[in-house]
Amino acid sequence: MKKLGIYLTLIFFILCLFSVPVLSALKKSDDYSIYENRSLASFPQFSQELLFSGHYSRAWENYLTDRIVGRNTMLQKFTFLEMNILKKAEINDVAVVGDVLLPFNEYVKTDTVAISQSIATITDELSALNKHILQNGGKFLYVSIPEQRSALRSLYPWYLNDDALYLDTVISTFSSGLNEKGVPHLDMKKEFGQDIANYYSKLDHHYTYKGAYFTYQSIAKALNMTPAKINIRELPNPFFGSRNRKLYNNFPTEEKLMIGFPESFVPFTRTDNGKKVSSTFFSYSEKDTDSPITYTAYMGGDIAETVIDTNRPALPNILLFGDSFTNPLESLLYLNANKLYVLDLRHYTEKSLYDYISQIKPDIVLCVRDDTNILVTEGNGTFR
Amino acid sequence: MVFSSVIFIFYFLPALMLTYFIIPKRFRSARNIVLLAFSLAFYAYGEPKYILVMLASIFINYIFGAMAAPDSPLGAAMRKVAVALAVILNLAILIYFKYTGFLLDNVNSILGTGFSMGNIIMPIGISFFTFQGLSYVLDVYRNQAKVQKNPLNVALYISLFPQLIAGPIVRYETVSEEIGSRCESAEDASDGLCRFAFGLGKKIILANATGFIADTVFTNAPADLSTALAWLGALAYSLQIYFDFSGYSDMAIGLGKVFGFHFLENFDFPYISRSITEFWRRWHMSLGTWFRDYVYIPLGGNRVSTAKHVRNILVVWLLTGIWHGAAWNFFAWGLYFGIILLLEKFFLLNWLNRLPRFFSHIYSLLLIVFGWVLFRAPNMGYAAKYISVMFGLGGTGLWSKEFIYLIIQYRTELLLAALLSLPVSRFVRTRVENFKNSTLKNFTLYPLKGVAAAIVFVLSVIYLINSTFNPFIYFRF
Repeated sequence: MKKLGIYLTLIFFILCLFSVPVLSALKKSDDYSIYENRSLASFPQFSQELLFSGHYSRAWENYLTDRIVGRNTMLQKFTFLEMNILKKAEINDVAVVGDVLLPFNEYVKTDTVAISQSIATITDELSALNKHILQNGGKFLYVSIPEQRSALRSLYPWYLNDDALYLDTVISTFSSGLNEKGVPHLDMKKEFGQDIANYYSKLDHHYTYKGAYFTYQSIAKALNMTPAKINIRELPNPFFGSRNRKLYNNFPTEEKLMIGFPESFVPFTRTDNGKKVSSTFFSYSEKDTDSPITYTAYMGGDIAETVIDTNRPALPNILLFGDSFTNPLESLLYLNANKLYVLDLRHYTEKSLYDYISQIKPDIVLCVRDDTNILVTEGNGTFR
Repeated sequence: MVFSSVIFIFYFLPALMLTYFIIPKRFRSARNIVLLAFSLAFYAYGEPKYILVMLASIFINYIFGAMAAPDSPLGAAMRKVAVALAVILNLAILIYFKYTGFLLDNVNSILGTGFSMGNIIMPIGISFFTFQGLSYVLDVYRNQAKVQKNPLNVALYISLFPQLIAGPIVRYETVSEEIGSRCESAEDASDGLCRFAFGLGKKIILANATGFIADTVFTNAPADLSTALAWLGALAYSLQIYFDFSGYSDMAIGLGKVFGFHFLENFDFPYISRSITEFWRRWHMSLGTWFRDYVYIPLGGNRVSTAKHVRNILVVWLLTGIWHGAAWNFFAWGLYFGIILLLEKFFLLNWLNRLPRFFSHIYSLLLIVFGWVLFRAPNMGYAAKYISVMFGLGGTGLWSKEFIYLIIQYRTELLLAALLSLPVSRFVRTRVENFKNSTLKNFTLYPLKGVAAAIVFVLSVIYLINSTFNPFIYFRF
């Protein structure tokens, strides 16, 4: 029995220690992790400088850890262990709150003074932008949309940080600032009202297509336009929300991604970054209903510049810029536009927003950003 | 390179085992050369240029060891000079890399000057291999071990990878025979791998979780902490440092055993101590015995006047403090324990021995935990404010949401850590060894232990892949 135990133990460890590197070398390795939403470490490049600085060895460590055989399986099992056996309050920065996944917020002090100072600068910039748009014959509307964690913050358990003080301070200071400086502003948190939870994904940091449609209707009302009627349906594909992806899709859900089509078809052409592409707003296959689908199905993800042309000169030209909350809105706003120009300033670098407006002279300029990014001045917060 | 990494577990270790064990046992020198080459590669990985520091240390200790040996052609006086030079040179290297910045900062602070020697980066494990090198020369001088004629064997002793970076400090006399002739066996290899697996689990599963709690708490200013959170941070750090360090020692001892070395134990469940005196006989025993044998006893130990005895204890504890780090809080930490040990030695111990176990245990734990706060704090001012908050002074109140979150989030790891800081394994082993049924006894001691080690190993690897928070505390020494 003693010898049996000794040899079985040795066999187990020797098998483990030797088989893992061999199998890792033999397996076909992906370069991208859909769950972590990042590229996996690439094969280390050698140089004497990197060797002596220690970076070469660290690069090998990252490469071998990223490419180890069974990595995704181990990560999935670990997430399962934390969720269902250890019942952690937070897993991979995600808080499981009933049937909703929310992000874990660090316990940090809210510096209300610093927030006020930052907001003052930001609203000054928006006021200047508003003036520039008016000088170019257009009108401006800033649309502030709650991010999922802001919209559903009442669901957080009492001991987790819901960031309410930070969010409320930012939003109220921002709204007051815009009002004082005469910048037209649509606060979607107020528009959604008590039913806000119905418009948000339980697995993703965005709103659902219903939330986008309601936002479109609110924008149309604010601009005295008539919103089009839309038929909304669910795609049968499994939906990989951004939060559930962090849990390796271990969180059971029936939620599906929704898309919408106008009751009255409006033909259009689409140009992405100057190149003509197929005239569609949604990236999915009718035939393949098994492959998972993510929020990037809307417009194919974040694109630097998109131009939707409906060839209806009687309608206004609309410029829409902002973050990923614009993506499903594009499939709706074009219905009220001759041309819909869409910019994501995180990726668009050809010219500044000011120059773009001076060039195309849009009738309407919409800025659509989520409320957790109000203080971010890079990317979609930089206009000049 | 660290033990708790993919590259070590699945690349370095299998490559070493294959290269080492493929050589027949009778070629002991060849096996030693393989072990030496891999040990140097282990050290050079990540910090290639600092291998020169280790090679310099090996060279110095080999030369002066040969000069200090009883069979050296030098006379007694010159042998003493050789020992003195070895001590001076070894300590000079250590002081240069570890303490220059600290010394210059203090000189500049006192004199208002701006002396600087640039950014001196401390080679990893320098405190450990310097003490090992000194141990070689001193043990040879005292005729407690035979001098090594072969410089490669001295190199092997000083650079042996299992204990190179974070101990235990292996005394030369412990392994001098085994360097030249040792017997690797399947039983030792199996035992060693099990020990390695359990050590890996301690480090990755328990130390990292408690370390996360400690880091989360200690990144805050003490004024932003609730009393409960401050206590949680202190207790978490106490658990982190124990499982981190003892886990590493387990891995080092286990790996040594695989290759036929039998290192001494470094920890003996220190948190069951009933006095600080007992604590230091159970914690980092290799450092304690090193200072005892190479500093305390040569100074006269307790066979001197009371005043000198007090001096000897304080010298040892101040040195123990600053060995851990070049900062005043480590100095204070050493002094803190030095004073407590003196108080216990001269009157507290008798009183403690008469107390019920529970009270003396609480007394020890409180002093140990406060000591760890001093150790962990970035400076003395922080430590003082932190301990005040632990007593309800100057914080944000009695408890906070963050405290509740951390307890809920890490309840399993905290309970497991608290349980495993007790001698549960020893209790179980003793009971099993008394089983009358030898089949059941052997089944429990061997296959079952192997299964437990396998489970811990697999879980540890899964945690490792998932973890990005994986620092070893004692690497900064």
